[in-house]
Order: sequence, then C-alpha cells, then structure tokens
Amino acid sequence: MNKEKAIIMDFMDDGTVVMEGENFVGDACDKAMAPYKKGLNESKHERKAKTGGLMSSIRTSATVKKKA
Amino acid sequence: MSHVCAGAQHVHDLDALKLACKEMGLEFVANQKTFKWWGRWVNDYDAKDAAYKLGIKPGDYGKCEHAIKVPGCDYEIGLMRNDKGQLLVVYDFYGEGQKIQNVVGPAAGLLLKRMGLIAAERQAVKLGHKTVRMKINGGIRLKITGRTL
Repeated sequence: MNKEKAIIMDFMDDGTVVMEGENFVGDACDKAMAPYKKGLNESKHERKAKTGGLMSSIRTSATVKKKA
Repeated sequence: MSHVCAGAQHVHDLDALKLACKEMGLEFVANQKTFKWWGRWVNDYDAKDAAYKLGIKPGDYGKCEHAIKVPGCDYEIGLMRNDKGQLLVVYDFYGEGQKIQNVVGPAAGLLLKRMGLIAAERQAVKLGHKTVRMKINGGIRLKITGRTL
C-alpha cells in the first residue's frame, strides 16, 4: 500500500506562501504540488533529501508592503 | 486625498474569493460596476502597491467588474482588470478606506491569503485528498494528506 504523503502550505499574513512536500520520491512531489501552485508567484524552489524520500519546498514572493 | 492600492496577487479563483469574503464577514457583490472611494485621483500615492503601478489606469479608478462591501465602511473594494487582463483587488485605503485595510490587511494581503487557502482546499477535495487547517504563528497552515498524492 502507498505510504501516506503530505503537502503542507503555510499561508503567511505577509502574503508569502511556503509549500513543502513530505514522503515523496523523485519528481512526484513537484507533480503533486503543481495543482496548488496555480496563482502563486513562485520565487524559490529547492529540494532536500529526507528520510523516506525527498522534501520539495517552494516559497512565493511576498505581497508588497504598504507605504502610507 | 486618495491612496488607491491593489493586491500584488491576482484573483485566480473567483469562487474561492467569494468564500473568503464570506469567512471574513465581507459582502461580495457580483456585477457591481462601480466601487466607492475618494472619487478623484490627485496623483498622491506612488508606493509599490499603488494600483496604477500594477497596471490599473487611474482614469478607471472607481470602475470594476465586481465589488466587495466591508460592513460599517462607506468605501468599497473593486475587482478591476489590469493591463495584463488579470483581476486585481483594488481599494482606496486613505481615511474611510482605513476601515477596509483593517479587515483585509495591507494590499489586501489577508483577503488574498484566505482566497489562496480556500482555493487549495477546494483543489485537494476535488482530487480526493484530506485537508486540515491549523493556526500558526503569523499565518494559517493547510495540510493536505493522501496516499495518492
């Protein structure tokens, strides 16, 4: 049976979104994340080896700050 | 004085935005073609989130495709297309408009954050996965789980 996998998305108040995948192997993480990246302005993408597979993470660009 | 700003992130899922409005106590008014603001652009706001810097013509300020009402505020939020055809959340945050900003955050960041969260949740459910929301320091975490992710 397939191991349960997870995508974690942190929607921060400053407008950034940090996205991480857990327990994926190879390109599966990027494929799994793809449907959730729509509309996000990806600014950084990195992969790290992790027990049980790869961890892929993305960070989106921040919303511009208000200047009164 | 007017300070018309726009969210940097465009609206990619109108249904998710409607649900985000509901969660945040705002009223989405479909097809309302004008929104209330100071009413006259006096070229006095030019920060990075100024609507005109994100492709909205100042001459079009106050016109919109849909509007959002904030309870207790005379000004409104407008959804306007920029020069790339993207739908942006636009409002005047000066004076009365500060009441809008108090709810949706600078450059509508809190509203757009909620829209993104709901859009991701809906996508996950559509794909047959489980979702759970958690409050974290400075934001909201969405965990999507499934064996077929």
